[in-house]
Amino acid sequence: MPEKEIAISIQNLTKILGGRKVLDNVSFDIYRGEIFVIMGGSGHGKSTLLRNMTGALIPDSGKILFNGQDLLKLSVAERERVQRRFGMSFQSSALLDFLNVEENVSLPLVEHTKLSPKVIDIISKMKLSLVGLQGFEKYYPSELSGGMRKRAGLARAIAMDPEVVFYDEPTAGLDPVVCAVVDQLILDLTRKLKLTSIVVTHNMESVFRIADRIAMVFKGKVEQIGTREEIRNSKNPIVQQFIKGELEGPIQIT
Amino acid sequence: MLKYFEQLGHKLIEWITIAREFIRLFFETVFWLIVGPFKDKPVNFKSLFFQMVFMGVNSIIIVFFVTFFTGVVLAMQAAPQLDKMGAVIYVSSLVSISICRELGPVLTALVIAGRIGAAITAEIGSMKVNEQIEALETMAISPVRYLVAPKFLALVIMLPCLTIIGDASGIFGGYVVGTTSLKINAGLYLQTTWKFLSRKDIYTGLSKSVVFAMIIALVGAYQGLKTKGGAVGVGRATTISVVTSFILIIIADCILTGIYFFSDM
Ligand SMILES: Nc1ncnc2c1ncn2[C@@H]1O[C@H](COP(=O)(O)OP(=O)(O)O)[C@@H](O)[C@H]1O
Ligand SMILES: [Mg+2]
Repeated sequence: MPEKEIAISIQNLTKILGGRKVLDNVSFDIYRGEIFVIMGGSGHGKSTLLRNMTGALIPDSGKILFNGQDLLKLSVAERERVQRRFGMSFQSSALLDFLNVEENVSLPLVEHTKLSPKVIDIISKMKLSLVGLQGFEKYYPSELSGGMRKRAGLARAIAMDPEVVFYDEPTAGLDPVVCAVVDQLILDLTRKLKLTSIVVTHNMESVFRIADRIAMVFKGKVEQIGTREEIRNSKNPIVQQFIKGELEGPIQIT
Repeated sequence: MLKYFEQLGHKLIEWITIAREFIRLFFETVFWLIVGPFKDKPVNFKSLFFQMVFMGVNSIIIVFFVTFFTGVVLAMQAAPQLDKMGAVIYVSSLVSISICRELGPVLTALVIAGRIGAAITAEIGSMKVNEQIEALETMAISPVRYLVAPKFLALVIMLPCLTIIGDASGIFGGYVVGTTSLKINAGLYLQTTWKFLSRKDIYTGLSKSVVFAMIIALVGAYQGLKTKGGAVGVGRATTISVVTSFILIIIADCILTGIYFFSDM
């Protein structure tokens, strides 16, 4: 394998929300073309971490490098240009409910490109067929099942041919089979479109199905980073308790 | 004692922050309406048209009822007093002037604040709690341009139109009372209405309604964009939106009336 290229580098990231350190001095690198999974319990700062990377939140201290460029030092316009190379799939899909599936997927194209409606139509149809939703162009989000909404959200995330795609809990609330379908989709899209994927999840089956590398987040800190095998064989009691879902251990639910 | 002042200070800072954000939202909205077309990002016409139908056409009936019956009540209240002076004919000018200057614009605005202001907050607020606003921002699409600007423009166009309908219905309410129970000659009633109603009465009323439209749209959008805390949060934001609109409409009405009154001198 050639030398791994760093796509995103997080350095000493700290974020305070509501007077509490939700992220505490987090550092890690994400390599180009890999599926990087961020796992951890609810409320431990996974979504916040993702939001800092996508630019929805600005960290209180630390650096976020994208292709070696410090995102926090860019002007608003430059930052927006970088942001267009990111795609994001939201926990609740976040499709606009007054637009149908096709209009949702084509929204970023309509807003940011000068492509003709015909071309936009072709692109959005293509993206929808990539996620297996051909034939559902005219459906509104409220008429779709949870899994279909997640997939439509994915199609929108890849509409602008992004380099990096972020997924917040892509399989939350889905049945095991649909869950496997979405996981397979993330794998396929990442490999076929040569994306870098950053997936937040607490679904252990998903984690071991898709991850190239895994970061365990606990109380706003990164507890351990490693490959599937390294995490599975971790000596860290927090990681062990989490991946096995045990009652006894250092993780206390209050 | 010190604590009391401290609390007061915090409250004050909070209010100043809200006022600043609110004014910022106003300028951002106006910016997109004016600059948007030159940046190849004009207001979405489909959305504008849809909003105008939703806000305007669908509100006509309720505006009619509220202002019509206000005209009726005004005429009935004024008639005995004017009758004592043998001036019952002036019911017509009393009704038309108070409707056009004051009650038409204000009542229409209050009705629309309840109907449309609430709808704007509920829609944007539920988009906020469902991550849809964040999704727009992540796609580098300004929610103010995409969501707020069309609603703002639609309301600024439609509220004066509704106010004209409200003015007409109010005058009609007075006319019905005047020509039936007060037995004033219909032609005479209308003649007196026009004679004492100046253009300025109508213009000032309509210019008020433009300001009211801005208040309703911006308060609605502001509360929507600030919503947090799921469905409960949307409900709370909607209530706050309507109450705030009501208060600001009355305050703005007072200020504008003052300005018009003193500029008259
Ligand atoms: N806007 C906010 N204001 C205050 N606290 C917040 C805010 N957003 C998130 N938090 C808190 O930060 C913590 C981490 O939240 P989040 O990143 O959503 O967790 P996760 O996605 O891992 O479940 C939670 O305890 C949450 O209450
Ligand atoms: Mg989360």
